[in-house]
Amino acid sequence: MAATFDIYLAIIRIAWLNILAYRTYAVMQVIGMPIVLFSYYFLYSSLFAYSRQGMEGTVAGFDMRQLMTYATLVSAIRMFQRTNIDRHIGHRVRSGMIAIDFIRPLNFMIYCFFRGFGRTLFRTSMIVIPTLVLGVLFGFLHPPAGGVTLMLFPVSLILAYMIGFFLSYIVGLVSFFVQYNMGIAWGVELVISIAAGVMVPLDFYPDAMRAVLQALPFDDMIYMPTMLYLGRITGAEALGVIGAQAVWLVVFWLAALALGRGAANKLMVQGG
Amino acid sequence: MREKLASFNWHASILLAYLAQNLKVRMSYRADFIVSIMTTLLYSVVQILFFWAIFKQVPEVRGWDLNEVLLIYGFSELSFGTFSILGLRFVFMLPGSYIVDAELDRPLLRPLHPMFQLVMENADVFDLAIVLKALGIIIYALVQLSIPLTALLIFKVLFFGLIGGVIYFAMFTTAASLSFWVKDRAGVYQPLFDVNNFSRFPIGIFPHAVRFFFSLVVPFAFAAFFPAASVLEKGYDLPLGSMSLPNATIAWLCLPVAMIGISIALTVFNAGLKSYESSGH
Repeated sequence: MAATFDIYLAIIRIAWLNILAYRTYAVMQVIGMPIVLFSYYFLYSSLFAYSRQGMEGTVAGFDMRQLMTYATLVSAIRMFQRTNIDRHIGHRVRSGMIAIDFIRPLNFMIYCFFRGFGRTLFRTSMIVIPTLVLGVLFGFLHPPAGGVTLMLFPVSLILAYMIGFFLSYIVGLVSFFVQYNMGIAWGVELVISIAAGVMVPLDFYPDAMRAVLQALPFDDMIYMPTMLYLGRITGAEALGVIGAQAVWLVVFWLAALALGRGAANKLMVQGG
Repeated sequence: MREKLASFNWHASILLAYLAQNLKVRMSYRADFIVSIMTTLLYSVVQILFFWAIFKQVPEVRGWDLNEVLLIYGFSELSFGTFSILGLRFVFMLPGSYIVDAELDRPLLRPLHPMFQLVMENADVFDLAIVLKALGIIIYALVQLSIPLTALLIFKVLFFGLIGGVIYFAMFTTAASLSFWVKDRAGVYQPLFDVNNFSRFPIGIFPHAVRFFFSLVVPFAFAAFFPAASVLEKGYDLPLGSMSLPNATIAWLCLPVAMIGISIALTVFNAGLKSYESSGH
């Protein structure tokens, strides 16, 4: 057991060292973050100024404080969640290095998970925490709503992270079938920006569209945990969110297993 | 003068030959073409859904309605599209492949100016898809706003679209050239994309300092907002100290802005070349 754990630690360490080569990327993300947050601030301020109720009112059920907390938290969660495993697998397949990954005496999915987790540690320390600190300094990020629901927030966040990992892993496996998955990875990213509530809360959309988006798994990746933080979903409904996330997690996990089996048979190493 | 013209013709013919060659290479992966059209369309669907969701909440923001914002967005994409054909791949490849992996050694041995050489090698005719999409958005917005088609309008769309592309090229090339000193594969242009996303709103939602930033520091307003304001004949005057630039003429300042931008980009790129050290292969 201890030996296995050492292996996981080693994978995390290598992922960390790899991404260190991209530390300017992290710096650029942190420089870009105030631009994004202030842009949202000015945009939403204009919305409130021109809404019927004015600055003290609500837009789509959110007051200004909640909307800015939402914008900050959503950016942070997306950063936290992006493991880029889809790109990683796609790159390994294209370069033929994937053959080495398959020789390893270690389950490929577990290898990918810890690989992604190494990146998450990096992103959390270099981008997510600075984003949250900036959010507080600018007065955009407000403390969470209290109560039992708040205890569910970390649980929801972990489930959301796992769903995000499996989605990324599945998009990565697609490259076994199509050789080039960057287009699909980019497409999924775009769908997430709308359907997970990254650009604006799902409450901004008309009811019918919102119902469709909430039936999809993407809202459970970002929107729902943020709603728990804001205390806009409480009680039994909050437990329902956790339940739905758990169901999606199992669905994605099974899909990843099934696709992984098919992918291994389909693998064609180019060059290598 | 005649020499300059001959030189221009020579460069243009080499550029065209490269474009044709790149097109042949790209056409051998036909699936890529479909994927690039699909992603650029999906990207715009997402953007337009964003605007639409915003304007679901209020009918207008600082005097601008959804169709007018779509016109701004159309100009933004048109400028980005004309930039993309010649510059996007060049800008993305410069930090990683050319500088860190030292692929730049090869273009440096060629007789043309390295930036011209790099632009040609990386020109991507497929990005014409972005230009066509942008024209579609602009035409849709113009029809919705019932703006009559005139020769001046067509001239404005083409002129602002081309000059906007030059402005994007200048900004992104300057940022990418910083990688000559900050050696990092990822490049330093993420903040430019962040700024770009919000340069598509009416500039009036921002306080004066931010308007100034969008106009003169990272002048994306000249590639999106000011052209749309010029077509719609509305907008805001830009205060400059005790004077103010009237809205009616401001869009035409894109020309000097683009020229200054290109000079800065060339200066930074050339200075970067001097500190390029290759990797010793």
